[in-house]
Amino acid sequence: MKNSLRVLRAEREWSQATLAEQLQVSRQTVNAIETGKYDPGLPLAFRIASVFACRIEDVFNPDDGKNS
Amino acid sequence: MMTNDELPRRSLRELIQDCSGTLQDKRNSRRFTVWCLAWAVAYVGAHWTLKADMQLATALVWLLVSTPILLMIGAVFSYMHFLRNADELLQKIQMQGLAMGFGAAVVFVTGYQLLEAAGASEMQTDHLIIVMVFSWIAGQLHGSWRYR
Repeated sequence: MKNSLRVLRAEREWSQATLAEQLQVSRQTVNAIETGKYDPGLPLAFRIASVFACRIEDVFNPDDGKNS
Repeated sequence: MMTNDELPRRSLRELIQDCSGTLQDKRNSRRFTVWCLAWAVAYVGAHWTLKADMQLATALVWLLVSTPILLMIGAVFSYMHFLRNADELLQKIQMQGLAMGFGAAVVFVTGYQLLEAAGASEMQTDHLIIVMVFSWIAGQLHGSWRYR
């Protein structure tokens, strides 16, 4: 699963820690999602979309079927 | 504001703190550690007292035996609470650690049974617990490293 989390975060000039605080997860989780090492569950994916005020598919899109 | 890429290189302590989840996770983890320490103290104390061959009243023997058991049950519930409320990546790391601990226990027991059949001394429960705990910790460290 590819995602544009890093781009969206950079646009808002948020640090990983700031985003993690808003999502109520650890900074490690944000980093793992950004680097594609971990795909979040649906509730967290919805929270991410909500924080960036966009749809889930604007943040995440499937690539060649690889999963974490 | 600094993005993560611009942050200076993190110390080992900061890396470990990063891998231990949110503030709530750290709090729940500390609570679990306190339960485990209380169990360890009660277990060692009870073990020494019972092995010392003192003439103890039956009620005291029951107290010595039941206290570590109750503390360990408390630790298990505390760990379940920690796991249920943990950050979802931390849950995944913990589950991998538990899987590794369980797997290592199965390998150790079945492997050692064959060694016993071949003439090795009888397996001690303490050794199994040590294998499980160290594999569980190794699994957690591996998971934390993988998702760092």
